[in-house]
Amino acid sequence: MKNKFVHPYIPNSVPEVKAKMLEEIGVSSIEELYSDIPERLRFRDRMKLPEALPSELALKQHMHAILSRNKNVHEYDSFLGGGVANHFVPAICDEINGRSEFLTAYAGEPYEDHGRFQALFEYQSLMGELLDFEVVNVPTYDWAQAASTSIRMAQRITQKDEILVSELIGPDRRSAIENYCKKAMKITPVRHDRTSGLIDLDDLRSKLNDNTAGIYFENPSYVGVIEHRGEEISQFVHKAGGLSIVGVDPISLGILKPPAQYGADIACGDIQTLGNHLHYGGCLGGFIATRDEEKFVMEYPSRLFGITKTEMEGEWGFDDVAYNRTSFGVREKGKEFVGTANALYAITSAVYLSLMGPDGMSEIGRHLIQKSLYAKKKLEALAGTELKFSSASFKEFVVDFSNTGKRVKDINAALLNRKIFGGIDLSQSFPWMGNCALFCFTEMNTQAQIDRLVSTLEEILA
Amino acid sequence: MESLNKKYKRLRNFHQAKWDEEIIFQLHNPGEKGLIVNRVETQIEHMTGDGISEIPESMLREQKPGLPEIGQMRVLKHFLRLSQQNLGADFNIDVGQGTCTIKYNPKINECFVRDPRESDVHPMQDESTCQGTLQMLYEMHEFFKEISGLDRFSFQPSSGSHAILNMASILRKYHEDHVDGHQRDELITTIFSHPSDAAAAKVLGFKIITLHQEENGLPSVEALKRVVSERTAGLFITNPEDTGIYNPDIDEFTAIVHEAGGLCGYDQANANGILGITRAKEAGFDMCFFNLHKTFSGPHGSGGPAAGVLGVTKKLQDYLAVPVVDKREDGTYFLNFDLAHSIGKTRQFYGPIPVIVRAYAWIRSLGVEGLEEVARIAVLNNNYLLSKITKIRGASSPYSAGKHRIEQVRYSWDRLYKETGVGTHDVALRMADFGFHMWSSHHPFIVPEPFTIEPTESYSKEELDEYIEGLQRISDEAYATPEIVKRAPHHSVVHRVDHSVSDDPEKWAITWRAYLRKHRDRLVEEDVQIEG
Amino acid sequence: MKTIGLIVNPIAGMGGAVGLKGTDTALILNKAKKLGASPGSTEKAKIALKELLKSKAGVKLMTCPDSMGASVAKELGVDFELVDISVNVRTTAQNTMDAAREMLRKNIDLLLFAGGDGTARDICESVGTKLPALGIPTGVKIHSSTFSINPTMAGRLCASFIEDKKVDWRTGEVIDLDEQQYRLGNISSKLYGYLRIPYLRAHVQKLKSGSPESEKYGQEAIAQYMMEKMEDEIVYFIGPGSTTMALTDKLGLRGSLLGVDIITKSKVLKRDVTDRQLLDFMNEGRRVEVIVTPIGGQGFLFGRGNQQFAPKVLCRFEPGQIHILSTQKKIIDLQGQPLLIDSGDESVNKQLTGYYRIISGYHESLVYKAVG
Repeated sequence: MKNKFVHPYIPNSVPEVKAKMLEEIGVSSIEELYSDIPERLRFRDRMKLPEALPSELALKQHMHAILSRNKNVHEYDSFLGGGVANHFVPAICDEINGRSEFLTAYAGEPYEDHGRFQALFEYQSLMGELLDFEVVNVPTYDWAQAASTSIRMAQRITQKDEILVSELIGPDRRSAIENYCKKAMKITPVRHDRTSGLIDLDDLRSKLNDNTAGIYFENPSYVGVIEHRGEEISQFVHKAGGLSIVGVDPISLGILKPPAQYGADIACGDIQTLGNHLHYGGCLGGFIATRDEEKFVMEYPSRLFGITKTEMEGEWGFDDVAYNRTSFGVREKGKEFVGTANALYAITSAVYLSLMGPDGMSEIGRHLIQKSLYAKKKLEALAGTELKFSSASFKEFVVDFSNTGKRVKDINAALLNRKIFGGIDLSQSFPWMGNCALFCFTEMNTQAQIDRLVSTLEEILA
Repeated sequence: MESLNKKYKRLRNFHQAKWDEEIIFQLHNPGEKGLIVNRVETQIEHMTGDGISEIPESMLREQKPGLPEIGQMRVLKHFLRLSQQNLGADFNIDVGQGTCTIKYNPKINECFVRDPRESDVHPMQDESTCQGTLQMLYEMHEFFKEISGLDRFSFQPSSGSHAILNMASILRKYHEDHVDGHQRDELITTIFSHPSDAAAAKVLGFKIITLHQEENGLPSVEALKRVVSERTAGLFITNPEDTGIYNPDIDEFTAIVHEAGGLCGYDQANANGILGITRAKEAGFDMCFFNLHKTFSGPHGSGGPAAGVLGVTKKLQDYLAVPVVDKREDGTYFLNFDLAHSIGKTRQFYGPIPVIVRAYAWIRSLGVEGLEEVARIAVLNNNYLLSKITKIRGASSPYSAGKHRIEQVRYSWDRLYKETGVGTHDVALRMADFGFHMWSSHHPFIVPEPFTIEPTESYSKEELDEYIEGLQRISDEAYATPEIVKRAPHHSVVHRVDHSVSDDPEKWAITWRAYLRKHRDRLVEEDVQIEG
Repeated sequence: MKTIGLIVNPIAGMGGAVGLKGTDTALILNKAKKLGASPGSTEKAKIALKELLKSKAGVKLMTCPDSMGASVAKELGVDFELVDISVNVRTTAQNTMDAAREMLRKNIDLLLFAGGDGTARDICESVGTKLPALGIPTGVKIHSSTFSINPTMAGRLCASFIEDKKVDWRTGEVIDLDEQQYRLGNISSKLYGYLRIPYLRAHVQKLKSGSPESEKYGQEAIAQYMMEKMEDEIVYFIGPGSTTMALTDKLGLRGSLLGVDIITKSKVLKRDVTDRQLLDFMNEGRRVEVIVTPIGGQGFLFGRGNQQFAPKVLCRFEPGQIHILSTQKKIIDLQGQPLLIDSGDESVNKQLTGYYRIISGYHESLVYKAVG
């Protein structure tokens, strides 16, 4: 016991301290404290783990060696999107989410943790302005979960069991929705026009019926197309007694109409684009927003923080809203759950929106459209390439390489050699599109980068 | 007050920061800027015009969003002030949030996740450019095989509850693929297992059977035998349960369920005291998951991010959510989407990477001896607290009197409440006056007036003594001057919150715009007062 | 400011101390007095009222003349308004009922009453669930689940109510024993109805499984699940209570709240039957199962409020043929104490002892022990 190594993270390993504590407990060894675990369940082997790196410097050296095997979007020119994208992260976003007080807090009361309650209420409120909705949740895991929950909410609200789902939503989301909803609901795909990329309204109408809980579509869609007939789509679905659920990239909403303004009942999406880093797709947060109607609020499984007063005149207080949310309906097949999700990223997005203000959001929206439009014109002009869809797009669009005689996979490999991350290869996730790639352009891509992409492609395709 | 302070010499003369900070919208001043968006290059401007003429008019936003306009420093100051009005684990002795394993989150690990080689990597990059992150995922997979004894791990689950959803998805798919499986729709759990064990499984269509505890706080083998049948899909159970009591019959539980044709999922939310001591494999589990944000040191981020790494035995390895990470013979790592029976994707991309990277660094820092020491010291600390807290008047530890507990204890202030009217919620709020948290427990309260303490390995004996003194003082106050406790907090950011609006659809306000619509009168009145 | 009504049954509790099991008749009351019983009800009411007055939130008190409340209020020096009723020197059930009706008419917010099961029964009969009420347990018989666990707690709960703390509502059963039978050593109890009772919502800090359900939704969920489990060809003996009533409602049947009915999934065969009728029906040879809910605050499965399930009836059932419906809250409130079976016959009690799957929600059940 005497010379045992004491790790910096474990203060009470100090033998003298251990001894004192054991004495208080009235046992002679820590082993005695495990007496309730029968011998047959004890693991008496030694776990095979690599040698410890208790020295902070040694750990740092080890980690840097591993991290240096990654290439990032600064070393390479990246044109990747598909749900997360390389947007600018203002310094204050990182400053705030790195604060110990927010970073290491969890679930304190609205007194000693007043700060996180207020910050998350402000997140809800700022998102509410962006989305033009009065109710926004504390975010769930990601857009996939937000969409899945929105669909189950629609089921409970309408008491109907069939959801129509656009075929141009993110493939990861499609898979997650399938797993989450399939037993309780019928999931029916809705076709998009192969040329315009817009929802095929005839197909939609033919699939509406008495059991339609709603439609879920994304706008812009996964492939970047702006659906401009949202109003009509919502009307059709409403007439059938269903809800209109729209998934949206929130960074588009300074310039594009929020779903609420074209008849959507529920909006959802991901907050990664609002001030959060990429983290290899590991930094997501799913928002859900609706009108402030009791029948909607009651079906949220999420935390909803409300603003109130305290005993002391002039103090703001915060509280959980609608405690007795009774999500039981005759046809509902189980209420949902809520747990630890992504509060820190929500706080970060609150900072982002506060910094950007109305002008900033409007300008970034315009910027993204200009950038991608420029790229669109340049790429379209390349020999052999075509734009897959004729409709207007936001920051992403699909380039069809079918006539170039080269596979996207090979084109991307060649781009990679020139330190360019080319567009997402869609041939696996959307086989019907053929040999297509989804390109994304953000404020992080300079004109020079885009020009280099175009000229490099020119060389590769030549 | 002074004499009290002398008596409780470990307690701090604490007062939390109170900035009386406005709601962000109240800082709005038209024309101020927090940030300037860079303009597109002139040539792009020439070629695309304002860009918006391309957008169908029906999709153009008519009015800019009603966000506030605030200068940069003011935004910074606002959120810094809010942060000071929040009590992170880095500041307090955060042992009062039992079941959540609030431990030290090493600062060095923040450097790794804030390194652009980690933070600025896009998930759709070619795998050859992500080998560092993939290597960490792969090694983690290997570590968890050792820690649990199970065979294959998925990093898709975004939290503990989400891991349960993944387990339930696997359970459902597995039975669907087997002859007698379609009728297997009953999932058994226990009352002191995590509430999400029931709730998340129910979402997928399972019927939930909850075993209640016996006098010793544990569910009985007899009760389990009574309910298993050809309808049993599986068992999801925590062990030790949230009471900190280890169920010594756990392998009999799993055997009974296996005998009936079900599968067993181990919720290892309470693993901090048993790392290297006892494992899922020996207890007979087919699946298990660990919360990386708890046991493996991820900071809790004011309520996330989280991660729940999920492992299964060989029998179930093709059922995991995709992708899993594999290694080729040439030593390169890749994302493997090719699992025959996979439940598909349960999250976008590959997992909550920053949480996983921190956990990876933590395990590497500690090694085998370190992990075992984590468990042992967590148990030592817990039993030390148990010994001390049960000596406090009004506090008790229901069930299995005189026995040791693993890594946490669910205590009760029932006696305190009955004798003084001071309940657990009052104590929790009073604890804030000394710079502490104290949490009651999940709902519904099985233990009356509960509080759940989990000291982990992180806090020194002196700190534990300080926390105990806080509880002791409040107990003394409850018996002598209960009003002090019942009106607490006195030294926190705000005073007792008015709950009356929160259940009223006419009055609740989940956003500022809803507040303005519903309570504008109130606001105008106050503005007048302030100006006057 | 909220108005609290106070009705004290000053003679409640007098029988217990001297072994008389209640004071329902004048004769017994005299006997109790002769045996040296002293009024404890007033003292206990005072404890509750004192606790209530500790609250800094203001409150209006409305009470009855003299020993039925006014004297307690005077002693504590608190202002009060009197209800306009005449009170006999020896207070009667009629006085209680008159007072409760008057308070209902005056729109008070909560009625605090000190007494036992008999008093609860009087309140129930006069105002039912129209007036929120809470019992201060001062009587001998406290089988009804309409009482706080002690006077102090009643006062505190009442204080929380006036302070606008988060208070929820449940329906509490009013059960009373036939005192004459009880004194003879026989148990004969009946469910008389329900009162609307406040309870303090536990503070929520971290929700994990959606949100807790209100009692009403809980009962509806239970009914939905039980309905799915019921089979067409089986006949069910369905016991009294609001939880089982929610099931008959869901089935679209007109069941009785307080009695035992014989039903199938699609119709009521006989309403409000006696043990004799149950026996006769069983002799018809149809497949029969039982649906019950535990009654009262003490977790009786059989033997309180549903004595139509006599030993002769119960002895013909296996535990597997008995379906128990209960909200989770009701089970948790038992604090681990098993459900009780007091059929009146030891061997039947033994026969039915064991683990039961209690339906506690939609697609949710709890495994819990019942002992005889």
